Amino acid sequence: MMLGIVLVVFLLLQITPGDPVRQIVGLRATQEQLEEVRAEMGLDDHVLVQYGRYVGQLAQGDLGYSYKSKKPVTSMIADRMVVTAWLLTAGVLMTLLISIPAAIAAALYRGKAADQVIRGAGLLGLSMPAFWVGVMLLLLVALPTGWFPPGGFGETFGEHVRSIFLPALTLAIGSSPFIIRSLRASTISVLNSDYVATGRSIGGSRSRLVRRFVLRNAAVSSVTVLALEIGFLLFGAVVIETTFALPGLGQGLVLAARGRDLPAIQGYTLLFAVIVVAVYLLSDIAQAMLDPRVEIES
Amino acid sequence: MRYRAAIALLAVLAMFAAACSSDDSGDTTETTTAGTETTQASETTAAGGGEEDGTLQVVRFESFDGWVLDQAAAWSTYQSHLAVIEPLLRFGADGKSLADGLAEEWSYDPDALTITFKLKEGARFSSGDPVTAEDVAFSLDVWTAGPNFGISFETIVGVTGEGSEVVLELAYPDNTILPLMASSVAGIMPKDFGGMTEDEYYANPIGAGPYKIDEWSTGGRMVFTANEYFYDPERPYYDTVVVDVIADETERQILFDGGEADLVEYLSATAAPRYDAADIYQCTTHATAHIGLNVFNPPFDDPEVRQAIAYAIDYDQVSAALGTDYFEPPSGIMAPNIWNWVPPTKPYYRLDLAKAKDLLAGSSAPDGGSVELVYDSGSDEDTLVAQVLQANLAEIGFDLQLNGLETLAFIDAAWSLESDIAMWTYGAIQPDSADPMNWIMATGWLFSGYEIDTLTEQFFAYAEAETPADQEAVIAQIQDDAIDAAAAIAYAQGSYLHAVNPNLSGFWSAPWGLYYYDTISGS
Repeated sequence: MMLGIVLVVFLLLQITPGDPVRQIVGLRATQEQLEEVRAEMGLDDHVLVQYGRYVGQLAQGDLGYSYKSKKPVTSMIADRMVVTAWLLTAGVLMTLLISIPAAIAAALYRGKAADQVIRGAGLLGLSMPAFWVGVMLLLLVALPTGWFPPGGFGETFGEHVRSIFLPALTLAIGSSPFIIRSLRASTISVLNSDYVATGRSIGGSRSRLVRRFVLRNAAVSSVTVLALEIGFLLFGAVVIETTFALPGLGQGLVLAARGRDLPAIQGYTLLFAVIVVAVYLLSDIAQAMLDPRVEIES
Repeated sequence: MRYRAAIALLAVLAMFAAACSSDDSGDTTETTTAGTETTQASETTAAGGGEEDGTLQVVRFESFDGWVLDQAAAWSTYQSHLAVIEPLLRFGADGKSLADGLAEEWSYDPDALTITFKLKEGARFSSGDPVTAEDVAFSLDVWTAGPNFGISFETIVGVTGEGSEVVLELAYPDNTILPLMASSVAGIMPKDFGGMTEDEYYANPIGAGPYKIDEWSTGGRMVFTANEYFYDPERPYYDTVVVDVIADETERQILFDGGEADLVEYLSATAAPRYDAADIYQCTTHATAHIGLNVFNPPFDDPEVRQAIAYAIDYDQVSAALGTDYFEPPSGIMAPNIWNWVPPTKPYYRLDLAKAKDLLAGSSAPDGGSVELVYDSGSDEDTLVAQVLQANLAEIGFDLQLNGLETLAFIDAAWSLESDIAMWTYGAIQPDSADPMNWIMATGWLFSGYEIDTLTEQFFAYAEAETPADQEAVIAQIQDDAIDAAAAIAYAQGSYLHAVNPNLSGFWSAPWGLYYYDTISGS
């Protein structure tokens, strides 16, 4: 699968207009000078030869060097990974902090005002694009209050927390509606199950039942949705990091694409693919832990 | 269980509160107050209080091309190179003068074929090593090897020197070398890259500029810290310069309006009205916006068709679209307000539909036709002007097919002459008209494919001219030739713009938009 992703990215970049050699050599260079550098870098080799060479390097853990910065792509990724890890972690935490109480409330008060308000808010969150939400948060929250910096990641731990809050909130606003919808439906289903009815009949309080039985069973399906959402969050980070000037992987990918920095684009894309696959694997493991009926076969 | 959850919640809240109350900066060093009047500092913005933590925050839209001097293409790259790898000379704010850089004195002797520099006593790299003639000789080898600007240095055949004296030996008289020494592509590097390999050097370069590099990336943040060995003990005023690449126009404005950014580089004319007019620093008119008509293919292989196009453009309308505060109808194809620039001896094109139709009637394309215009869709200005030109040329029967391309695709299309018309805006990077001449040649007469043999001869005549008047005569001839050829047609000339915090002082910018970080202070 990873090889397939690498191949697709590689081929897409081959057909994208824009000569990377012109980017490397410069605007005033002559055509002869461009061809010379193209030959030196092996960029005039057949595309399959270039692909084979790239995969060979990849097998040795070598993602190559950036055309622009001349730095190893692995070190560029390492520099930016921390920021994106912060963003994703905070985004997922905020998504859960918003989604779980909202979904349970909506399920417990199904059809009532609270349910309608939560579902309406979810619909609103779904319909607002992330870049717009980001700009609105900057204009309406960051600037008037001064509590959060409108851009950058800061230097200290405290600055990181402040820098990441609004971007993470932007991600959470976009992804929470999916989790709320999924968790609400499964919670309602579990609330209607026999063992919950039995629990009620023997005098179990609603809050105790929800905490100890309903939530755990209802969460199984939502874990899959959350895993899917993390994939979306990762790609949402491309937009969010650009909006909030966060120097993470998403911003790196955008800048590499703008500069036709092929080794960097391939490196970032490959990493995104690895993260998505890893998250799906983790979600399978989490499902197995939450639901004994699920088994992971090798 | 309940208590543990409550404690955990309190801990999270406490952490967040602590984060909210933490100090904004990691650097609390006070800046040096302004007080030194220099030639450069004479053109300042309003004085006032500046940053207290000694950090100048700059935001820009362009990513950085890296530290290889020759490969600089973006303004942001020239700007950053100037901060770290100081050349022998600097440019003055008027765009027509030279100022001292690493050299405090310089003289050109066309008879002896030498240019002599006297290095400043305190000229040192950020490593602490003094700048010597050997460093200049090594740098020259690096410059000459560059595929972009290398040819510009080829007149220099040797470097000698002793003590603080550095002598460049020329193969023939060349007026263009001295001003070239004020460009970032002539930055002085330590001999043998200071003991590093070439790759190591470009990953972490050192120079003798006012700043050294603390952190850098091509598309993210760059952090410069003051070079303690800089030759002027008063400067730089700011201990740290942080430059962030912010791709989004709105985000840049938000940062500036919110006081998070002191300077926004290279505003587009379409974005400028969103800023407070008092915060806009408008450089002297210089940016020259033009179209190149592909002379290899019909209908633009016919000079009469090209001239008809030139007469069909409503230059006032184009300037109005871009904002008359910042743009005006062009005076010629050469970027103005630099050394030896003069206007054409005859009037430049203005809208004259009757003349355009007459010319077209007697041409190879009397009914006009369908032609493609490529432009950089990332530029709001170009997108706007493309639409104006489409309406203008429709008046004489041309159906202009607009093809906005992403920047690199556009560059490919323009350089390879894939389309009928290509749109671009250019400016110099140093104070001499030789630089626009070089650029016009490098772009195949600004993307038209028009022959450059004559221009090449004119360049040599300019380089070897004995007096400034002779040089101006060459420029006037080039301007006139461009009118006759109508292969590249300027449609507007205007100013590069920056948004500058009014509390900064010492900021000034050359007509081409470049400036020096070290002249800026916060008081």
